[in-house]
Amino acid sequence: MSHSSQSLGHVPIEDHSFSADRGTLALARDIGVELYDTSGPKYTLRTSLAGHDKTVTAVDIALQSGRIVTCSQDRNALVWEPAADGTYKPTLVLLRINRAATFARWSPDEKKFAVGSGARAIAVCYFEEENDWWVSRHIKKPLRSTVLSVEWHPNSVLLAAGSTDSHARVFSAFVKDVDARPAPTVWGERVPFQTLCGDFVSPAGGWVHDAAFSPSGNALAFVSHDSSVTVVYPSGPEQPPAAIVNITTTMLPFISLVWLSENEIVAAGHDCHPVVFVGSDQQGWQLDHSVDDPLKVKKSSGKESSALNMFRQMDLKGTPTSASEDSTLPTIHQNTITKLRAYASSGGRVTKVSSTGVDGRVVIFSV
Amino acid sequence: MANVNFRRINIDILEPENNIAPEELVPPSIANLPPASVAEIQSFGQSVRAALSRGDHADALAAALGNPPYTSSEEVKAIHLTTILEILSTVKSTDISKIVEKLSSEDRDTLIKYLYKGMGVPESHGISGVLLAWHEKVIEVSGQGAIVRFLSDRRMV
Repeated sequence: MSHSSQSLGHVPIEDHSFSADRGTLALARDIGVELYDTSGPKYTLRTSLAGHDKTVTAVDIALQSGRIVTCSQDRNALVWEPAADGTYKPTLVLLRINRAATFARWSPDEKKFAVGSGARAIAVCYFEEENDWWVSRHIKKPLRSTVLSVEWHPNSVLLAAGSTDSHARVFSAFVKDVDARPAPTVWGERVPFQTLCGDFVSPAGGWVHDAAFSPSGNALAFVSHDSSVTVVYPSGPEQPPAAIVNITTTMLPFISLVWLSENEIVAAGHDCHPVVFVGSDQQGWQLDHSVDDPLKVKKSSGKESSALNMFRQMDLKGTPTSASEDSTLPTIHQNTITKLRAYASSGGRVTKVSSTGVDGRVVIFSV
Repeated sequence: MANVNFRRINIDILEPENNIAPEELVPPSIANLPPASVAEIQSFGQSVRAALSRGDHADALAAALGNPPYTSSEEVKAIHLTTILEILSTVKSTDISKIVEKLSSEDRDTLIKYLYKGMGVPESHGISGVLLAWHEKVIEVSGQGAIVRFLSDRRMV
């Protein structure tokens, strides 16, 4: 169980994405997107993509095509097409929103991407061949507030969205000319665009920071600002869910979550270290263990303090003790973790997750 | 200094579909909860006091926290708050941790709501120390998560 950590400056990282071969890392920070070469032991900056003029809120590399989608508080999304010489050519996508874009993700088949926004809308974007242009369609109802996250179902039609109106919702993002008719799922049989297939709230409410489908797509989990994780098992279209499991924790709220397998979820957020939840619809869910547990880290208390330091402390504070002067956290991340992503998997289970945080670190955790 | 009055203009009024009515913010889990009347909450308070006089502090507290009048009027809520403050102030300080550990985690979250609400009313000025002692013990068990849940929860007591 080893974790690798890279400190890439002190600017908070909003979102990150690895390429399919894990050789490139894209970071959304401040108004730019930085591409790092991750083949060496130390990540090196390869190039920066400049095109936004406000904070970039999300970045996602399509695994097969290598296209990068970014979105920003300047209300725009850009699709960066890789060229043979390693440069990227940006294409502006007309989102038609009047507030910041907050989140963007490619669908698994990479024909579409969804952008969440503060305009109480999700823009589902797809490429129109005849116009040579990315166009967007809006999912508006019944969103009542800013959309903080969007996550695709494995069938590339259903979309989970977490919102600041404390609802986690499942929508259909079926676009007639782009998608083949999907096979029926537990979420619904006929799903025209903007069908609401599920709408869930945690008992204590709170902003829904992240929502994600399980690997099979037959369950939904979301983390909200009441320090809880909620897992929903639908029973079929138009029916109440078979089970809703809400796990409240003693920790600070989680910001992001990743399904490791059908029975394991890893979540991380304001407590700066990931925790793993284990369970199923029958047995219920519980917090199983912490990854990078701060309680298990030995405080480096045996640090020698110099005589100079001792007298300085006495001068400043009237006591020679400088205990608890160490302002670093016992965890690897020194500030809130803003995003978790699956990094490596074996045998159908995610074994490593990558995380980025406000402290500007990129960490790969073995889970 | 620049004119800041434009910040006071409620621009959402110009867009009717941007308005959210207070009713829409009621969480679905309590939307169908019938409001309690003053008489009901008073008789409930009596039964809790009876349990208190028998020395059943833990049961009295669990009963009072198990059924908070979320959808009732402010008057009813105030009566229930008085009942709970009464229970909290009659428990010996050495018994607090034992009782807190016995409560379910939902009850502890509800207790936090009453502790904060209690700190905000003038009647509790004599027992602020007691409320702080309870707060400390609840946080020992429920962690900071309980405080965050209090902040995010729209089921107000």
